[in-house]
Amino acid sequence: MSRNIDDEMREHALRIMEALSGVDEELLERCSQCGDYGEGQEPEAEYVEERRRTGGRKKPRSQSRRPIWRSLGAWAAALLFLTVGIAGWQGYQFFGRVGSDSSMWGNMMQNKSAEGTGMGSSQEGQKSEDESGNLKGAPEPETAGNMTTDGLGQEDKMAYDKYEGTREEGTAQNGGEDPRSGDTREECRETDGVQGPEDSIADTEPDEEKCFELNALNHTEQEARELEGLGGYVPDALPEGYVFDRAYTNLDLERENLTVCWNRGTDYILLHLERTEGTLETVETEKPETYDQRLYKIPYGETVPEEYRQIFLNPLFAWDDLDLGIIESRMTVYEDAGDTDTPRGNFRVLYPEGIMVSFRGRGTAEEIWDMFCSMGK
Amino acid sequence: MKDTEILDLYWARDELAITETQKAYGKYCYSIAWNILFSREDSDECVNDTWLRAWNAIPPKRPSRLELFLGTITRNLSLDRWKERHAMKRGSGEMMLALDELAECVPDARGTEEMVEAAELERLLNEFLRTLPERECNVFLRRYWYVEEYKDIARRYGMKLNTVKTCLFRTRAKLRSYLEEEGVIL
Repeated sequence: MSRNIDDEMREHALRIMEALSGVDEELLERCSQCGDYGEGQEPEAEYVEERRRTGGRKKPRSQSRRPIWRSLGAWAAALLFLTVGIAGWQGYQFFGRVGSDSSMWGNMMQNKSAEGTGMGSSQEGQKSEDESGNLKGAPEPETAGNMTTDGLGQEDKMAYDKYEGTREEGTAQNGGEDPRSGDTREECRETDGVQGPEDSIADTEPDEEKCFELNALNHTEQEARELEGLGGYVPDALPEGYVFDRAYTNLDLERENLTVCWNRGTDYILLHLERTEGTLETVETEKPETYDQRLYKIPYGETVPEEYRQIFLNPLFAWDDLDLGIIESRMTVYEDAGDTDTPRGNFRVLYPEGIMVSFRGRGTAEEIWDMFCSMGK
Repeated sequence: MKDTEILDLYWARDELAITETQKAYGKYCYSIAWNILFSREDSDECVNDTWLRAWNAIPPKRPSRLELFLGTITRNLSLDRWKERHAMKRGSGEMMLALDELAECVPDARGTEEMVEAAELERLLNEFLRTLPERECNVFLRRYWYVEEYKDIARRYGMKLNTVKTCLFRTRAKLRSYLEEEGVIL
């Protein structure tokens, strides 16, 4: 019976949960804007108030003095650690006396530690420090005269290699995961204001690859220009003032592709280049009603006849048909409040080699025409 | 890429819109779906469905905040998926905990009032949230809109864990009183 009541209550609760989807964007926006981790976070109001009253002298509540009997657990734990530490240290000294291997091991670890902090990479240094952390105060190394140029004695080096081999075997047995590698999952979990999935349950752990990172290969402008095939279609002539923003290849697309973006303040030019296969239908340029934006008013969804709408929204012109007039018909100045008066537009061009260039951006028709003329050379 | 540019791509029916949306808001939407569903496969599907819904909705829509528009779609799809999967059976994850907490807000059915319509409930919730101090409202939304854990909310707003719990407890009590005053039957 109580189960049924619980279920019923949960159903009601779910209604509230669903109704929350209709919360005003303004409230949600406010909730997203403030309190991002580490940024703009305000200290707790009570704490601020307490600091204000005491002139900052008093410790926050969580650090204030506690009766000793409430800390017995912590004292017991500290005592236990101390005992274990002493026992461990005595054990180490005992083995250090009876076994030459142990001595060599101690030297090796110390040398390795020196290498890590002085000469090795920071990662290696960190590792050595971690591993030799409980060896502090160990006997001085006896092999100073036996050092090789990289800071390791010959014997030590062999022992270290053996040790590393064991580590790698162990790593392989653990499914090949290198415990030293950084955990990229954390990066996937934290997003624009939303805390990501919990990773405490192994079988339902989110996979970082599944976090919808675009599988893209980024390029510099120079690399983009040098790409075989599509690189030749990156324009040499851009409207004045544009600077390179980014270029990437989407590795998830089966076809050869390249996207390049330039910015000029709030203006931008985005080119998506793609190698196509088969025959694509291009716009018949003698039918301006299918592509000329000057013939229609906004919203196009209401003014452009339905039979042309699909073509009109993103027309594909054959390179041989493209001219300044066509570009003029696609570059329009929109009177949006707060926007610049640079014409903006979009269209696609199919080059004879089967390369399709999707253009979207801003500039005068002449500038865009010059840009297209500098492509595909 | 800015939201306006992404929206332009949608309006041009350029499939690059999906790629750019995924790049900008993939993680965000995935996190919302994950917090509700606690399942990788289901979260993946909900996020993919979100792109499809967005593709079908824009145009004619031109959302002023693309992030929230997409987040709301993901949330709705995830709630539907959650209902399908769980059929109100006890499951794991933060969603069930959040629901149990929200059950505290359900008002007593005393009179013969009609069951409140979804749209009316939305309106009342909005009205209620506007009566709350900003911080309290934010914490409530983080918990019951984004289904975030207490510790994450505490970290986000620099609060103590217990303060978050207390804050939410009080807000739930206020919501219950508010709904009862309004004569709401769920």
